[in-house]
Amino acid sequence: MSTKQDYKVLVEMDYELGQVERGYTGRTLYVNLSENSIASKAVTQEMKNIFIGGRGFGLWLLWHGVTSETKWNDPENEIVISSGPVGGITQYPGSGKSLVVSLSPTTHSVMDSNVGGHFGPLLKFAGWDAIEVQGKAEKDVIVYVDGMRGKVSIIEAPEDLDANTHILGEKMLEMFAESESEKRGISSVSAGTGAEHTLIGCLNFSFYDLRRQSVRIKQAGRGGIGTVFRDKRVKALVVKYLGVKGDSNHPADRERVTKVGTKMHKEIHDNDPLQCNMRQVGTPYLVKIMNDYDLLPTHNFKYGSHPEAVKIAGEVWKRRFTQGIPDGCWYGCTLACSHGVDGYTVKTGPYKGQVVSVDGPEYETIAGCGSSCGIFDPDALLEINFYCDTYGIDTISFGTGTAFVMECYEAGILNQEITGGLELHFGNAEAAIELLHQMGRGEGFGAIVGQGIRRMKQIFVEEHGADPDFLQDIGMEAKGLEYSEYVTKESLAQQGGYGLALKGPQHD
Amino acid sequence: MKILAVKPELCTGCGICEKVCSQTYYKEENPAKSAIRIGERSPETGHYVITVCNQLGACVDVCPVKALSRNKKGIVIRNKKLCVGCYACVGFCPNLAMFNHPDLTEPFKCVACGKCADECPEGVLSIIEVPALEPSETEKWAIKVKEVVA
Repeated sequence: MSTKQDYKVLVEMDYELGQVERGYTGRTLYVNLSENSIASKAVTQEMKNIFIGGRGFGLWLLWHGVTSETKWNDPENEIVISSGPVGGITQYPGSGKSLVVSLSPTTHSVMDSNVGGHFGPLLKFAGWDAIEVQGKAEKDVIVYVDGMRGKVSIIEAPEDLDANTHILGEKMLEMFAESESEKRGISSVSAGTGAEHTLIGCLNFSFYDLRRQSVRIKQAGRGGIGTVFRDKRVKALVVKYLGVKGDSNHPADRERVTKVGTKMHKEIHDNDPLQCNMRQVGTPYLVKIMNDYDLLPTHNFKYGSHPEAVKIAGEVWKRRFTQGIPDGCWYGCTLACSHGVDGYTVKTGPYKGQVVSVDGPEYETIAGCGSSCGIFDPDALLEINFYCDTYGIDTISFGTGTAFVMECYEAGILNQEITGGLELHFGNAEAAIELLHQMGRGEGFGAIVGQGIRRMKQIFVEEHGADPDFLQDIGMEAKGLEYSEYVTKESLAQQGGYGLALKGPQHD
Repeated sequence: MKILAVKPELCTGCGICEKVCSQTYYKEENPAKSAIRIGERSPETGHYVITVCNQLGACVDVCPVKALSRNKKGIVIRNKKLCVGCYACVGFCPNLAMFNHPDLTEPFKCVACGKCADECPEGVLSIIEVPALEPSETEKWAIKVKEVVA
């Protein structure tokens, strides 16, 4: 690994460290990787009034950066990350989220994806309401925002830097933390080799876990923005800011924010153990409910429940998750749903034998990669979850896409000759994991599955003579985006949202 | 370890303890900045309800930045520099004995200094010795991490 002195800085810009006022810094950061230029843009009153929030700023900046002709892999496509005016408030659960906006490689339209982790809030406190990345670098780069010195740099990434997040996240700490205590002030955004070789790449947003003393990650999963990220040859976006305090966001009425936030903490303390038990179980509490109501995607959404679902339901994860320590992905999120399994020994692939912490699994990973693929083995789910994350692959699109090829395999559309020997029947976890490794390497049948269901349908019709009507029936995608993990039959509103929303079928 | 013990049956609700506490730590006589609070009389017992930290340490486990810890004497103390003012500890204290005030960005609590006990005219408050508590989840975790690293 290169030392600090070895960095080749391609361009840098000094800026004045500002103050956040009423949730805004009043400027956004523009980075162009084709031109190696960096600039500051003013936030207008119009943006605050009409395009409020992280998604609003993202849409505004993207709109002005692209044209109706822009394709996802054109240099002018952008990735915009913004945490909105409440971003970084520490008293109110959930206010650490960022919104990522870009043109999607799978839907070819505007995509937004919401994510936890520390990047958005720290970026704001470093002086920027949003970061807008345009252009394509010639070689892999790291964009570094030093919110202590007031400096933004585009740095050539060290050649030996592993793109896969569980390695890269720690390396970013080595590169940019000047002491152990600085680690908590660093967050990176990255996507691994799977994001490079597929169209379903996700972004990993990191935060430093002070108790585990390691990097943890949350994912902006949907719509392949990780693929755009690697297409731009960004290895990582990194921000450093130390000194987060209870008033860093400077809201207009901190007393009231504090009052309602503290009330929320108390209600979570009193009621969560009697309700969803998010603090111990996290989102997997949903598995049992969905299964009971026949809404748990099972065998590529063919069914809504399965007798074996209990093997991957909340109680199992409650035992596997490390308990008793705060698991919020931003300070003050006492709902703390971002649990993790510590001390997991990786069983396959390039990191076989490594002892790692797996972030998750969350409900949709369990439903998509588990029941929808007929996989009811928690260890297999941990393996898939770990590799999806580190390779930078969206677990939802991976799960729904894998379930689709499993149904195609069982229907005789695919065979071992086409899949390169993989017996892709429902429940074959080994084959699913191998698909994932193929995506990480960009080879074999995995590389085809990584194109997403819409493209697979076309390929299977054109190359393997599949019946297009049948594929249309069983392929769980709309607008080119794979379904997120809810059977929608009980809710007209959800069916409408999934089928008609511009971004495609996603539960938001 | 030493904690502040209370005998509510002796309390007359004079509020001297609140004034002493806020004066000691915030240089003003302001009950809203006191780490001990005298409430209303309880309808069941007829005694004043006194809220103050018993050094249980539940807050240590919910602090995301390890700003709360036990010192060598067993008292739960707050590191102001590390605190990010999230007030998880305020909402999660089973005794509601962690406080916050609009003037301050960090929460505050009783550290069993005994100043209020010295001034209480009725002998309601005293510093007493109690057995040390079991390590909290956070402390157990720290021990585990140390073992793994070693």
